[in-house]
Amino acid sequence: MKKQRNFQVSIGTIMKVSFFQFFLFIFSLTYVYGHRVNAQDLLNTRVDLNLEQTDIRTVLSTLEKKADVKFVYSSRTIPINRKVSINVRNRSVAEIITEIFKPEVVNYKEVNNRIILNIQRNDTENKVSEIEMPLVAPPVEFLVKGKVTDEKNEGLPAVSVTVKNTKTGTLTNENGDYELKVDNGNVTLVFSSVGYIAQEVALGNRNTLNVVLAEDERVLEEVVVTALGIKKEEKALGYSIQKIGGDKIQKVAGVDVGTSLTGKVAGLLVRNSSDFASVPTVTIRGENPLIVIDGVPYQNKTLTDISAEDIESLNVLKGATASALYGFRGANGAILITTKNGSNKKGGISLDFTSNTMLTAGFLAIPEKQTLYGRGSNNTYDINSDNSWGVPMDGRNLVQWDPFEKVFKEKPYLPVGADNFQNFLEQGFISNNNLSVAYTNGKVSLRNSLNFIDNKGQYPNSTLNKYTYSIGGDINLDKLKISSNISYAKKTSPNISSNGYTSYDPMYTLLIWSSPDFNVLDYKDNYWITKGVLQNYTYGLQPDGSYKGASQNNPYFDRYQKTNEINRDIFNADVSVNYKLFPWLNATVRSGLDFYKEVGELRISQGSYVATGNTGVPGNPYTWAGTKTGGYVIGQNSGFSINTDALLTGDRSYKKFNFEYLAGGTIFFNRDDNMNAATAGGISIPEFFSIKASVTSPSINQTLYRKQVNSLFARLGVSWNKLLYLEATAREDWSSTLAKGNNSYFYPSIASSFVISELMPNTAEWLNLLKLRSSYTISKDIPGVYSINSNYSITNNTWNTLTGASMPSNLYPTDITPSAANTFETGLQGIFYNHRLTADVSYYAKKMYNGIITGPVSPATGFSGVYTNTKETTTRKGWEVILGGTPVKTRNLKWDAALNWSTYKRVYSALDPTYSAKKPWIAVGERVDVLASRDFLKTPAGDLIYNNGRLVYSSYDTRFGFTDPDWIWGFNNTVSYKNFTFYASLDGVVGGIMNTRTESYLWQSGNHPESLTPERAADVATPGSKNFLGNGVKVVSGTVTYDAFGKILTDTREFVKNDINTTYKQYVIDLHNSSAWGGNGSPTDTYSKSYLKLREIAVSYTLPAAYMKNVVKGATISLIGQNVFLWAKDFKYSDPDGGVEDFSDPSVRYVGAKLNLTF
Amino acid sequence: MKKITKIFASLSIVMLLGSCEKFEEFNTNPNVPSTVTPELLATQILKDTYRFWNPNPTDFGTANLWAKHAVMLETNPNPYQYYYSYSPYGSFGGMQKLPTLNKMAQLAEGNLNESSYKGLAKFMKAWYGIGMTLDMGDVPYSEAGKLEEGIRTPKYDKQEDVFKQILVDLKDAEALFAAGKSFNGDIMFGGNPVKWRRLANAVQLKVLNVLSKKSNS
Repeated sequence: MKKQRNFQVSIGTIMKVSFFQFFLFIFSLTYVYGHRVNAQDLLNTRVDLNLEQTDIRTVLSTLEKKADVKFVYSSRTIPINRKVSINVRNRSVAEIITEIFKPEVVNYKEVNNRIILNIQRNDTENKVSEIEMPLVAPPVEFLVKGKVTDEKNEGLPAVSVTVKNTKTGTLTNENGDYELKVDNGNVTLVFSSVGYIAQEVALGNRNTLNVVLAEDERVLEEVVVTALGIKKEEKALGYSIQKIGGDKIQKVAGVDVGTSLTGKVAGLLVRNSSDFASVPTVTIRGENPLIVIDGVPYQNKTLTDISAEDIESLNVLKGATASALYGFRGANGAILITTKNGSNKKGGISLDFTSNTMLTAGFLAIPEKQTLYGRGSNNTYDINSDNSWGVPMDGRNLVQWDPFEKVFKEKPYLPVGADNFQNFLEQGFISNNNLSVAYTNGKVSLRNSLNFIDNKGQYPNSTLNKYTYSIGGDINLDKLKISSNISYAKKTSPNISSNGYTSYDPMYTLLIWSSPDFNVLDYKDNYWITKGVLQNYTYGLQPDGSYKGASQNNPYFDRYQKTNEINRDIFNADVSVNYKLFPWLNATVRSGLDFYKEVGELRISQGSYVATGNTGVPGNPYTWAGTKTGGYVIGQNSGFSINTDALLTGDRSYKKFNFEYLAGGTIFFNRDDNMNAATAGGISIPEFFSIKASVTSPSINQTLYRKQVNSLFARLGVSWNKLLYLEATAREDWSSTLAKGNNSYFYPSIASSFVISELMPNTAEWLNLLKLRSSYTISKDIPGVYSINSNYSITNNTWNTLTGASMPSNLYPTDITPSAANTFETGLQGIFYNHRLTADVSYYAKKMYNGIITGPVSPATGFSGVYTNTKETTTRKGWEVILGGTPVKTRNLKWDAALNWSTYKRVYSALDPTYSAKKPWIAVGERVDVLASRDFLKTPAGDLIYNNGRLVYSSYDTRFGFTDPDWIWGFNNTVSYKNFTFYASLDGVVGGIMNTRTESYLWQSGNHPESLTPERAADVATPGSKNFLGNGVKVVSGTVTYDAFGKILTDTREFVKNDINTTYKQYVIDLHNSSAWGGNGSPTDTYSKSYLKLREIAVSYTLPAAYMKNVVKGATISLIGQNVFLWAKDFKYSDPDGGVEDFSDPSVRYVGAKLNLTF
Repeated sequence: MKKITKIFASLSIVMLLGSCEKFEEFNTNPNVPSTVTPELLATQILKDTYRFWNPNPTDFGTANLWAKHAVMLETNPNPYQYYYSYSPYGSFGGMQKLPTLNKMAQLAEGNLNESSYKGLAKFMKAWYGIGMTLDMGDVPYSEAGKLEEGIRTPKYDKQEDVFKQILVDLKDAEALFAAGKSFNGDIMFGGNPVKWRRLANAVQLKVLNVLSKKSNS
């Protein structure tokens, strides 16, 4: 009871936290709203500034940061390299500007929240670029006008327009228009503005010259977000971080953001299963990354809970070093998601509406089946057999079930269900709609976003709806910054069914375990004989009227009377407060909370021939309920996580050195509750699905998991002259999942970046950046909640009314230490020709050791295992290459391309003499990702050995190959021509093997389209005859002995050619071993995972602004496609994209349109 | 400025409050017991040991049941017709029960029926030992079940020594039952130490009978 109360207290506390945060946020908004910021305020912002002998450019940028203003000036008019000293306290921006430019007089003017600077020269001789009038210009002969815009077609103010090699020039006005009188029409004009790449254009006697200036990423210093939200210049990074702009994943919005992320990041593998409602799995360098949203590493909120439209950018922290400050949660890298906050708009209110609608249009892969032979298991007709090893469906008269009259009667036996599977499928679609409102007013910005996704799967009664609502706001005051986000996401489906070797999967029922001798459409809306009790299907009832049951249901019955409903709600809120204590010290407190609830419900009607099987609900993965009795199973997970960081950060410069420092702490708490219950003995009333319907006492289970990790950490970054960057971090964690007294552990990391290009000033023309980086870290991971506990298990009523208790079978020592990994990474990055070409190569080696395992011991010790740290060490080594660039760039045409490639291998680097498994392929230097199973028995020469005409499996495992891909790649292209944009994203996997379950069972059930062989025909012509002769040998004498691993020790066998027939069915069944339920896949069913996919395609047209007057600010219409084209090396009937092939649903192509409107 | 300080102070306090649940208790699972009573362990161990698993008629022909009364005729002889144990393979599984037996005896310490549970622990160890050594000859016995003491690879004892120790254990068990009081959780004899004492004696005789052909020891 006491614990219960504590929990309530803590919930109360946490509720208070979020309400408090919420009120704080609202309060602050009102405060700032009443304090309207205008241009004069920008210039009146008061700051402290203390800089000695610093160039004006740096002074201005420092001032920009401190006063949160933006200056616009031309380096041709402003002496940016002049060194000045300034030491002021609490002075306005205007005063400071006046001060630093002395003795010159500076004009300043506020346009669109920017301050345009211009020098009013004292000496008239050099007075060249006054805004209105170029002076040194006689004789005036030629007038040129035009507009300078940015890439978004918005007018650029204050762009300097000068005649090359002269001092004649002007500046553009607020709308980007300019007017200039020049000597003649053959001069070259130079357009330049800070933050944009200067352009020289030959006038060529034109009177109108419009220019588009491209943003200069070099000047803007590409900024990436690193661990804990620290923004850093790309060149300062000592580890690999890849940034993806939100626009890259918004081209085509499907059900999940993960799909759009596929192939975009080197080393990031996204597995997109074709199964309905399956969430893409994302791994970085083969491991599961931490997801951090707006600085908060949530435990429960994931990529699937976010609308693509809400994402401003993604920063992928690939290795443990990059995410070292996240501690054990960042041991596998992290994906930092920054959501849009509305502040990047120009001000005022803006409304953005995006609608994607895609329909299924054909298949990339769909299984097929033979339509010649009907039901039977030994080449004869068997009305109860769900195999298709029967007689030809040639119109002969046979007793069959009539679904309409509901009787057995004789009728012609024909392949009326040849297209059963395709007929069963329905038109699917994805509709993804997003409406967002952003409002910016001076120092306050707000954003509201609503997303609705409607997904209809291919099977009947399969719909999935996702709703996301989020609101976020920022307040930027002089010293205080507050930002907060609140969002809610819901995901719901009345029936997500269940995929794989289970009767829930229509592939199991319609493709594998049935014959095409009935028309499934006859059973649509016609699945009852007795409503709620007895189903109408071609299998299950006997001609004598008895009720035998079957191992599958009517597929329509399965869709509507055996459902798997899911509901997931997740709410999260964060608030981040940043206060500038001193010019050199910032304090930040950031707290984020997520609360979730997910409910799974299985409802199975009394008429079902099959149980729920291995279909699970939260907390109960194998439910096995309801055969012929009906059942109701419910599982509910709920929980929350709260992560609070307190940070002190700052930076100081000393001569050419710059120091950045951080110290802070984190408290992370996570709680998960599960309750699950199931009816026992069936349900008492047909179609009454409730735990109350349980015939006998229902089973009920409860679990609770809590975890807290407290951390302290620090970081120090030192840079010298923008040439050399060094960074070190340290973190100490205290985890509640480790034994008391042994529960803290330490992670250090060190990273460096050496900007080689700084030493090569002469190459500045073509080389923007050349950087060498390297880093090293030790990361740790902790055991799960309760993992180190030794607990009794209790069996109620084990013997009549007596209760029994057992000790655990494993021994749990208290000296468990966290598992650890040492990661070394190095890389080279180059940026050439103003970002026209970028290249990045990384190499890493991650040595994983001290892993926590349950080591097997002899039961004679009293236990079957020991929970311990292993001495086995594995190392993952990999390469990543990113090439990007703009091969074509003219005024109207631009082609951006990005190519990424990555590879890794994980090998054993040391073995544990006691606990490492003993296999021939487990040795130092050998790969870990082995797929091993039983091969066919072969002679030393490699011939198949038949026994009594049948294939024989070896008694020992053989290594078939490796499951990890050899390499993965992605290739993304965007071609813009005037208002048209063409986008295509390709990706693929090369190498790696896996079993195909679809094809294996198509073969075994007699349904494979390639099984129509002459041998089979001969078997069917004379039932009982054996017509298949295996190509191989048989043993006539002698014996063979093996060592423990199946290596031949002695062999006296003599072989002759196999001359014993077997049936074709027997051969096929031997050749394709059952792999469900822990069986071993045969080598025949082991396929290469290699594939290439055209993932996304979009052709967009942006309506010219002129068409839209002032009603709509922007409109883009696109034709889009997702999952457009597939090539697979081995997989013909299914899509290997999911990484596992267990009755993968047909892979569908989605084609549709997208509309984006901005108001 | 004051307002800001307040905001910060409040946030910091809230943050600390969020963490003031009992850190040490989070790794304690409230849904499983961390301690039990000896009778619960006794019930489960006796059930696991003596329950007859399989209603298959041929199983009644196995060694423990009707083998001495009836002959099983099968076209394909099965190993279980010839081996003492039910399973066709020998197993050290019985020794895996030793930590539970020790725990049971330890939990009973100070109770009136302490002696009975200690007797049961000795008897059960001997019982498992008999099955094991009859199946496999030399087996780990003296060092078995001591992983908690660091013995990861218990040595194999000679069959002769195993039997000697079994007889000692049975004698000890008998003496403990003789001194014991009625105990709970017993699904065999309803916790009657007298009946257990008789069983301990009978099993000693059975072991001596098995050994009679090798009576040199």
